[in-house]
Amino acid sequence: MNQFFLRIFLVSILSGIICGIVSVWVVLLNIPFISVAMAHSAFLGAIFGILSNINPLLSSIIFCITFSMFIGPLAEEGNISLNISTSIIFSFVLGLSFLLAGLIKWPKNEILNFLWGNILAVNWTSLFVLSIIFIVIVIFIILFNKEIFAVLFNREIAKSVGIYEKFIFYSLLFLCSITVAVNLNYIGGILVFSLITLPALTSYQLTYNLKTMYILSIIFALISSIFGLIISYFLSLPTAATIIIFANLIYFISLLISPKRNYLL
Amino acid sequence: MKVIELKNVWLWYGKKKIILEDINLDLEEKTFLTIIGPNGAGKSSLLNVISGLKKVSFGEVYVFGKKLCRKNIVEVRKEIGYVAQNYLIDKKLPFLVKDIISLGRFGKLGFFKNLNYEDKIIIDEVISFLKIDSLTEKPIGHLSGGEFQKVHIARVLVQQPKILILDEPTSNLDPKSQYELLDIIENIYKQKNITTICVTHILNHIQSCCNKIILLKNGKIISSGKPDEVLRKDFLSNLYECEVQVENIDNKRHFHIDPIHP
Repeated sequence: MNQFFLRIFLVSILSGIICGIVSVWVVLLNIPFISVAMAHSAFLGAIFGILSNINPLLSSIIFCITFSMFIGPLAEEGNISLNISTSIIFSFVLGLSFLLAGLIKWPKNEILNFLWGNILAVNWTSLFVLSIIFIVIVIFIILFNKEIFAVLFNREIAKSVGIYEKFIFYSLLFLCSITVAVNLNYIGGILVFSLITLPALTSYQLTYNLKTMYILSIIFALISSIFGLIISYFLSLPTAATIIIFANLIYFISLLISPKRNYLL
Repeated sequence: MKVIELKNVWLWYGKKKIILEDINLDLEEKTFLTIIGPNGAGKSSLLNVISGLKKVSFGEVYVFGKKLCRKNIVEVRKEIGYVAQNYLIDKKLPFLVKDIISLGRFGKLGFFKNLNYEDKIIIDEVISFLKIDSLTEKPIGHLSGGEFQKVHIARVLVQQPKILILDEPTSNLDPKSQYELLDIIENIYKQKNITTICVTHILNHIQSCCNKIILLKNGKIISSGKPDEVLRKDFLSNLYECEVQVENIDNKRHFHIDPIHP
């Protein structure tokens, strides 16, 4: 196994585990559009980075984090749903992106990679950054396991029993955003949308237990990532797209065998 | 000892929508307070203010003698068991009843601590007190309306609150479940001696153990006092803007109240 393939393989495993965990939060908090909004925030960050000679990966992560901080307060102050506040952020960063993109007079392939992803962009730095995020997420879950449980069940109830639900909720939003940001140059902002929703949606069909949902979600994300990677390698297909097709296939199978199916019909 | 004190409390949304208007309220320890009033009177908002879930626009709220502020609000919430009017729960949610009941203790445990042996004993005691042993392994979305309310009452009881707040606990339940739940609430009050605040729309559901009543209309308290003083034909007719008949059955503070449409 050459070093390049090993790197991609390790990134797929880490990315699968992280996306598997985060997808549970995204699905239970009902904030699927966070990935689209964050992908475009990263896109804006990348354009800004290129225009101001800053590393585009760094600037895209900073932009993602910054805009993720606005989603919660915007929803609460405006008394609107999180999906609406995410849409507002999305349209705002998209507008700014096009405005700034107009200033770039040379080919825009580098910034478009942030939207569509580029497997060749995976390097040891990507692996290092993913490892850090993985460790942060694991520590966060270990420390705040019961608070996360309460917030995922119902924020109002979490608040009423005396949990610092705002801190937990904003931390979850932050971790969701940063997960999107660090997966951008590999899977791409648009396709990461699938990887942070489908694994949890699949496991949601199969269990009534949150712990099992986490485990199944990680397994499904890993299966999608690793099998998608291997198949794309041998058949010379685009890796990110193959991973997502795999994730979708698993979801459709889960729908067919779901014990909760009666509720759907 | 006063457990709750509201001084000139106002709550408004925007500039024109007044929800609560100059509310003054004292509540002694171990009181059973019932709040009644028509839709939109501000009953739920008043409960939200008392439980520290909603910030007042003007005025002061004291709970256990301490003025509610940002510094102490989370600590105060831990001492108040609050069951809201409606919880929108997806039937497919991956949460089991036993986990939701345990959730009630999470606030009191604080950060970085998990349920210990004592917590589990408290949880088991509440489960057998409410006779819901058979529900604990069920998914939360599989419960009937009555079972769902019992689980939420169990959740607040494991919190071991000093104040219990129930917002229309019997709404959307069939008559049998309604009376079953009313018995449970009365038993909790009698056995655990918790200061209880209950909102109801159904006047016949006012418990015999209730010792204070507030009539709320358009965000204002129009009358408050002991049930005998407040549950009068003229007051209730004014509250609901229709004729109300009040019947006192066997002098045991059972009231039979029939709103008659004009």
